[in-house]
Order: sequence, then structure tokens, then C-alpha cells
Amino acid sequence: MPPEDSSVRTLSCPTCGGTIAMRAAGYTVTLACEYCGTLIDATNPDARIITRYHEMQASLDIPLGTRGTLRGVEWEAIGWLQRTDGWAAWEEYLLFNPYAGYRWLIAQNGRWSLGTMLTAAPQRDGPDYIVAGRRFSPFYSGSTARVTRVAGEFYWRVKVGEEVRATDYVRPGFMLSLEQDDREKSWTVSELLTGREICAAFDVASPPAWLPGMTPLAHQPSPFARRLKEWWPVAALSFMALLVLLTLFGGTMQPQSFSLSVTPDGPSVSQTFGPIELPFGRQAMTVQAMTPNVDQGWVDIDISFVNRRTQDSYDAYALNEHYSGQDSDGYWSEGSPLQTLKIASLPAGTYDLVVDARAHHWGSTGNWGWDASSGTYKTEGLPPVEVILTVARGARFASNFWLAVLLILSPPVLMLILHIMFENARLAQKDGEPADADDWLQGMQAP
Amino acid sequence: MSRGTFLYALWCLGVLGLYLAAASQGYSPFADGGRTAGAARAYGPTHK
Repeated sequence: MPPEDSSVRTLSCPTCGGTIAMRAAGYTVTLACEYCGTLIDATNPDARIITRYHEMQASLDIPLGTRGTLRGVEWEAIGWLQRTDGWAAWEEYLLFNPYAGYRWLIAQNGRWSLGTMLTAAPQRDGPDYIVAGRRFSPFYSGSTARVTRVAGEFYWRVKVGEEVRATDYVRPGFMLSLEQDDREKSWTVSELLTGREICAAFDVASPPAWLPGMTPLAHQPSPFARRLKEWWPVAALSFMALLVLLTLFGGTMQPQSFSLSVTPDGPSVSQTFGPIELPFGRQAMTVQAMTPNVDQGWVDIDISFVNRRTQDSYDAYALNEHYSGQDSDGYWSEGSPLQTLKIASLPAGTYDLVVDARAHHWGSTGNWGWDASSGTYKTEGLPPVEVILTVARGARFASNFWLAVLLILSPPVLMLILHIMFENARLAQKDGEPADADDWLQGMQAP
Repeated sequence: MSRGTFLYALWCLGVLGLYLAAASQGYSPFADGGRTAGAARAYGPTHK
């Protein structure tokens, strides 16, 4: 309910008889009946009708006569008009304070801006304009803003259908608008209000949060830019902490080496080594399986840590292979004679290392036999493949590290993607080139 | 510090805590153990 004020003058609408309050008496030129929309000449003592409308007044978010305090000044909403440029529609409330003058409260897509008309033209700098040290870049020009509905009182003779040419310049959080017709030019700087400010002042609904697919206002700052700027230091700090943890917990200790020989294309060799003591808790184990003389072939190495007490088995597998040759491009080789296996979370206990190894030669005839002198199988012309296993307590799991990095970076990267989507949606309304990385960075500026 | 930043810092602390717990237990979801059973093995050079 608008507050009562003894300084308010009232008059009757000549069309509907409704009582209309004139809140800025002496300044008001045009008064629109808030019940039937009839435009009245407030300068005429007989309240002459300028234009008669028979459409019902829209229910306004801020009923005319409502007072609210914005930026330390108590304003009263005295006029309302709706405008469109053919693409978008917005509402403008005229605010009045006898000591501070007029301001505009502009509502579009549920967001509110406070507009102040400039008394002097802004300073031009190339394509930009500078107002109070703030640089405004061109956004769109050549649109025509037309009044579609009007209510309340105004300091000029406003009427439905009135048109002005509009040009807008923006910076995050601010818009500089030039409106001109054949008679005059007017510059207005509007500042986007936070939801908290406008709700506290005029008790309107909170602005909706931006979601992909919505069109932001031209001067709406990216809601993700601030988070991005605040989150990167946290991410960097967490990354450093991860590096420290990786260094502290990534070492191996007490290495033990075991070896065995395997005949290429011979039978599988099974051998048990141990004991391997794990004194406490759960520990990872690192096994380096090296076959220094494997050539033109491969070795299957199955290893198992078998707990002597429980007989629980923890298995892993390595395939060591090495091939080389010559072709029209020259020498080539592939494979590696060294594989590193990492077995996770072995409980404390005494273990045996059970190794099953089998070697093969690529393209071999498999002509092998028992060599009684050495007590091993041998393939004709091929030496046995030596398998050296180095077992150590502990392991450095790079996968854990990179998984943690991914989890730490995911939220800022998501914010970055949303920021880019937001800026692309905002800048899609802009004249000229499509948005690029420079525009995304400019959108990171603080309002 | 905004609420979003506080929650993100909490998220990072949680990730660091999980990493620390996994490191102290020698755990990794990507460890080599258990790859023998039914693992597909391909042999021979792939050079063309």
C-alpha cells in the first residue's frame, strides 16, 4: 500500500473518475491515469485529456506511489512505462525525490538497473565513451525504442507510440544509453542492482539465476567471473599441497631382487621367492620386471603375492616384449624389456612371491630340448631369457595424483565453461564480430 | 570469502583428505593387481 503524503495533490480522471495522485506537482507535465491509462495534461488547470485509452492498467511490480530507499535516498515511484525495440521489452519506473530529482528504475528479464540521466555529454575516446573514469564500449546501435504502455506522471509529454533512437555502450554492471530524437539527445548511465538491493528497497521478486539458454542483459556481469577469480588461488594451493603429499607418500623402500631363466618357446617356469615382510597396516608394492635379453619375442610374467598365513593371493601380470627390424624407412623397434607393476593395499603379513614366466620367440619353430649339462630347456640357437624381479615396499600412484588434480580442477573448469557460455549468450546481442577469447577475458572485469 | 568459495575450498580439502587416505593405505583404483584373470593378451609386433 503506498504511503500517504500530505504534499501529494490529487485530481479526478476526466475519463473514469478515478482519483489520481500527482506526486511531483510543479514538475509533472503528463499524468497517466493508473486505472484506465488515459493521458492527462497536468499543466492544464482543467486536467485536459491528451489521449484516451480503454485498456486496463497492468498490475505493476512496484505500484505507483510506493517508496523505497536505494543508495541512501528515499525514492517514490511516480511513473511507469513499457518500451520495446522490436526484440526485447522492458519496463521503466520513474523515481522521484524532491531533493535528489529523478532516477529511472529499469526492469528487464527480472533484473533491475538504476538509471541516472547525465547533465553533460560523456567524453569520447575512439569508439568508447568515458564517464566518471569508467570506460564504456559500444554494444548495439540503431535500435528504435517505442513506448507501448504508460501510467503515472512524467516530466515530459510522454505518449504511447513515442519513439527514440537508442545506442548503448556497456561495461560489466553498467550501461550508457544515448536516446535521441529530432529535438534532443539524452545520456543515461544505468547500474545493475543486486537482487538484495532491489528486494530491500521495493520488495520485488529476486532476479532469476542465469541458466544456459537464457539471454543475459547487455551489461549483466558474468556470475561466474567472481567465482573463477576466487577459486583459482584455492586450486593452485591445493595443487601444491598435492605435490607435497605425492613427494611424502610416493617413495619405495627395502628393495629385494629375484631372478630366473626362461627358455624361449619352452615350458612355463614357476618359482617361489620369499619371505617378503610387510610389517604394518596396508601397503602398496612395486615390482619391476626386467628381461634384459628378450629380443624378437615376449615373456609372460604372472606374479602373485601369497600370504603365508591366510593364503590370500594378490596377482598381477607383466608382458615384456621387444621387436626390431629394418624396412624401407630404416631401423625400427618396439616394446620394452622393463615393466613396472604396482599392487595396491596389501595387508601386513609375511608373503611369498610366486612367479610363473613363459618366453616366446616371434616366428620360432619351437625346436627346443633338455640340456642336461645346464639342467634347463634350450631352444636351438636361442639363449634363455633372464627375468629379474625387483620387489619394493610402497608405490607412487601417478593415477591417484592426476585423479585428484582432475577433481580439484573440475569446479573451476566448469565455471570457466559456464562463463564462456554466459559471455557468448550476452555478446550474441552485440553488433559486430562474434565473441572471442578477448571478450571472455573482458567479461572477467570487476563491475 | 563467499559461500561458493568456502564450499569449493571444502571440496579441495576433501579431495586432499581422500588422496592422503589412499596414499597412507597404498590404495589406487588403477593399480595393476588382479589383471591376470581373463585379461586379453595380444602378442607380436604391430609395426607395419
